[in-house]
Amino acid sequence: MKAAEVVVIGGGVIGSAIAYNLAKAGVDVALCDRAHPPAGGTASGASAGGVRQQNRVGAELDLALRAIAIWRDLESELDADLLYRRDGMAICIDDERLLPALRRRIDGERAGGLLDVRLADGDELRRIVPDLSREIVAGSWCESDGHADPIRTTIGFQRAAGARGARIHPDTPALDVLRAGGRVQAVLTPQGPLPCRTVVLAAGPWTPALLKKLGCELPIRPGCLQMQATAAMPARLRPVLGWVGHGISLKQVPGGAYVVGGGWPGRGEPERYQADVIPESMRKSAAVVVGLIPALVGVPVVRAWVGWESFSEDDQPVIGALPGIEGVLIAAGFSGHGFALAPAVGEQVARAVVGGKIPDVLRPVGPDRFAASPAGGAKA
Amino acid sequence: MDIEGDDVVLCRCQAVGAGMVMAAIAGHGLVRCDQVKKLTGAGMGPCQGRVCGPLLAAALAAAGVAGDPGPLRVRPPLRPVPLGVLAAGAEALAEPRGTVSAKVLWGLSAGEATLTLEPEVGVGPGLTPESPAASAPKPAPGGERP
Repeated sequence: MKAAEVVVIGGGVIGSAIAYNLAKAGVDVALCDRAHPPAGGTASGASAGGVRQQNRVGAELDLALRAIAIWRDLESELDADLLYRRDGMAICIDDERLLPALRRRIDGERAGGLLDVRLADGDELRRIVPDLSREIVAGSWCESDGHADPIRTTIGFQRAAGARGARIHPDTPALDVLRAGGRVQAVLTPQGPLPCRTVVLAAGPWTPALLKKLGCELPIRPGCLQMQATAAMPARLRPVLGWVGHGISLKQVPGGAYVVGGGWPGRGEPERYQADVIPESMRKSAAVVVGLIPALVGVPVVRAWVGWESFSEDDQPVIGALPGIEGVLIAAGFSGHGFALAPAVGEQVARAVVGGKIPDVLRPVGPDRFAASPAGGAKA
Repeated sequence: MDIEGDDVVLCRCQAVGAGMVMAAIAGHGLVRCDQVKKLTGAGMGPCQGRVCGPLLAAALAAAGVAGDPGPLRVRPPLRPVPLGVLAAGAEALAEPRGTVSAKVLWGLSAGEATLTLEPEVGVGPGLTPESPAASAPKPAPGGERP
């Protein structure tokens, strides 16, 4: 296979955004994926599509603020309709005893630079979302949050990367990272070695298997996301809704369907690339929707689907250079809330590769934050 | 088969025209029905590709794609189930003679009617009761945090 300066492993929204930003910076980059990305059964195929800044901490909030600045012009930059809507998001509570914690969260986010987030009482939220349950007493409201289509966004990044010279290799699983003399030589694929000098591991829950080949171990485990969607309905709900303690992210997409995600899991065997819907998760998730917006009781669910995501030990992404292994970077472990961050992650990882130095915004989420494990890297 | 312009509707549920499908196939080099579904939304509606599935295969053939275009993936609940029926599903399945009333709104030109459904009418084969161990999933702690 034709050599590249950098190979990105994994064609989800994160890997695609990284490949795009590298190509935009003039780097000779190839992206390989085991299937035809975004593959079925992956996180980018089963993302809820939330583009939010609120309810994040630390480096994730910094990345989200930067990401939203990019999202504003992303559709014209990529020349693609990503179905991006910035109509706000409310995270609701149904118990006044949760108010102090909600206030603390909002204050923390405002101190962290998210000035759009504020407290709204139940009546104000019902003016924004007329059908909202009377049970809701308050919520955090952020008018610059929103949602977009994860599949269109993934493909949009890939096509824009291709237009800037990146080579996209579908149906090309990465079997190993070959090294010699302490340097990366190639990514091994069934089609032969793909020579390169730098590798970015963005393979979600399949990243640890590649790390193991490199003699490295990080606390990243697979978790199965489950989604469901209704038939197309007249446009009625503009913001995204969450509900503390209930595992829901609810939105109505421009096509008219209500799309429900938020934490009720699926199941399966990620090592076999196999994932199944859990019917009980469909029921619980439906009950939460009807609890939040009782008027949706008669809206028919038409499909449910699932995909594997990688969750890190501390619920924060793992982005940066692998300690002790030259030429290998990682961007994984987004723990179910990485989609919105993808434009900023792509930008910052490309900056790390081009500049040879990890940008400050990524330092708190580097893989070196985890206590060095016995297998911790330095075999190179 | 002549399926060129957007005046020919391939997917009625999602209002996806032949022009959009053919452009997606040509523009993205698609070779399988599932890829067309992901990119255009065809087959994602209430009928879940029962009508448009064969038409997507025909569109791929018309675009000169050789080989098996594959099926559209089958998604639960196999036929549309109102949210309220689904929400009541756990209890309703335990009490199979019970009924669930739900206002049924359908599609963009929605009329409104109240139907009384036997739960097993709306609850497809994918929704048989689970074993006790698997029947109580919790929201994943790290899912899209609400």
